Amino acid sequence: MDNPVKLISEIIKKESVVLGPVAALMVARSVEAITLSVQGDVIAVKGDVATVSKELVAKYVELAGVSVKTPVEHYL
Amino acid sequence: MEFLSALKTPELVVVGLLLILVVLLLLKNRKVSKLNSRSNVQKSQLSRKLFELQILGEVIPKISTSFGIREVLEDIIGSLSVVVNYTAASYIIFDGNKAIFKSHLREGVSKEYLEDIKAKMLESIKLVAPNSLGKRINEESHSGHDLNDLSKATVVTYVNVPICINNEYLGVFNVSSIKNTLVDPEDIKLLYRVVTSACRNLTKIKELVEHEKDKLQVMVESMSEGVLMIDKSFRVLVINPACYTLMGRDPNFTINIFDVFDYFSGVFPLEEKIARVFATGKIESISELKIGDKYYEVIVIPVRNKDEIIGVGILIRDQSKEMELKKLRQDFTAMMVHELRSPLSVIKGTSDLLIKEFANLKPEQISMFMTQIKDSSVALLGIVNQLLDASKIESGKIELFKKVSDINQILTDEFNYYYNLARDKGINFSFDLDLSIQKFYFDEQKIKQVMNNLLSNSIKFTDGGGAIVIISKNYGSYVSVTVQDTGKGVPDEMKEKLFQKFVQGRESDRSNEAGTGLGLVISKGIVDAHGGRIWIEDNASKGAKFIFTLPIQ
Repeated sequence: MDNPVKLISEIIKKESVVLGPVAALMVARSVEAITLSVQGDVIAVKGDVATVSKELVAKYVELAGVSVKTPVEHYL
Repeated sequence: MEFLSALKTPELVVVGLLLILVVLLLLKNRKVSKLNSRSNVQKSQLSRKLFELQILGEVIPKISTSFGIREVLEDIIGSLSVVVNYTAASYIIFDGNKAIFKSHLREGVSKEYLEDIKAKMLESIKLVAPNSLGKRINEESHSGHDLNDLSKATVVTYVNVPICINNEYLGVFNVSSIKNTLVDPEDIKLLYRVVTSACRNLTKIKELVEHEKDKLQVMVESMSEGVLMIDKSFRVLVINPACYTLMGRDPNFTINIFDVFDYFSGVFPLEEKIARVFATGKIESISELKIGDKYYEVIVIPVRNKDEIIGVGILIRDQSKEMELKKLRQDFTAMMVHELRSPLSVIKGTSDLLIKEFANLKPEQISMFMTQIKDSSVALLGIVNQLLDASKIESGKIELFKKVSDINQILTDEFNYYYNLARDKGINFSFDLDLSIQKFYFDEQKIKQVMNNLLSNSIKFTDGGGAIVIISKNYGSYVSVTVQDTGKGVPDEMKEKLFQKFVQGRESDRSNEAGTGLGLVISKGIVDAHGGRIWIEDNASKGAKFIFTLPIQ
């Protein structure tokens, strides 16, 4: 996926189903390179999208365990 | 400067002072407010920490006893309201082939609310472990508040926490609210920490249990006794390979309890014994149970979990060898009694005769009777000495008195000693000695004893017309001595047991040729003590071929 905003949005969307929107957005907000709107939409992604997506997924795993990596593994 | 001079006026001084006071008060209030705010955060953090400690303190000991994720989740739910303001706490757990949905309600919500939660959890499961969805939810329940079908409240916020034990995905835990209350990141992090921590501990306990189970499994599988364990429904939970072997069953086919009952059918009421153990909790056992040509000891033991009998363990031990040994002992005792009684009877009978008829007997008759008494005493002494020798060998107390001796000379002496006896029986007795053998250290008397045992056996079991030959051979570092006969051979199945106590390898047709069966045991003990070896080989023609070696030192 070429569009960084779309890629990160997809990961957050999947994790919103897995963990619920509140936890998924809470984790996304903790990643500095991701800018979210108040509604939770991804506005911008700073830097290398591959690195950012890996950091985002690592934070999901840190919170909820390695099982949450499965639905988003193909994005990495 | 004008301002400063103006301040000098008393009114302005008062106003100035008031102004300063107000600023100071404002500053102080701000500080107090900041302090209060920090204190509230600290209180909140402390409260969360205390909750975490409390819930893990409650959950971990239960993990050790119940191992069940359901019990652990129930405990978490029970304490959750201390820090999280939720409406429903629910879980979907996979247990074998079934899936369980359970919800605890803190407010009366509609069935639709629960269905919505369940749908959200199933969506989560679908993404994390799509294969799990094949399992139907076949157990649904809720606790806490009753359902309220009039409620129009919907799910506003929710959090799903995946549950993994031992790298196995077991389901999902969900906390939901009809209000916007589940938004504090610290509360959400706490929820994840508590559930994942409990899962981690459960994993550790399960690993420990698995490890112990594996150790136990290896132990049970390596046991020579048959081990079988059944539960209350008579299902076979554990069965080891020895059990299959004892029952003569193919380990590739599963045995059920009815196969075991069938095996003992008619000889041992196993079913009845098991029922009695379940009823009384007492061990039931039977020994020397004969099935076919085997003997068994069967012990039925209750398996308890605290006070409850949860199963029964059945231990099946093959006693055939013990029974064989027991029989050998009994035979040996009977044979020894016979062996001792014969010379004693001669001594008693002859001495009675001498006492009663001494005056009427001729001198040559008296001499003959005295010789009979002497011969019987010698025979008796020989038996007693054999018993003593065997006892010394058994206890490892055999003593050798080695000196430089000529083995060929010993063999020649033995040949000469037995020559007349063999000739009288019509046996062709010869020797073939290797003259290159030099003198070496060994115990002459003890080796003579070995030769006596071997030669007396050969003469005993070889009929007239047969042959016996003594052969010596030099192998440099050791010599070998062979006593070969064409008499009654030793059956193959007896060859291994031949040098064991109480065993007679060759059956005698004549009762007067029976022996103590200790000769070969003593011979083996003597040869072993010299560092040599003794064994039996098949004689090329027929009969037996005993060989022993002695190291040349």
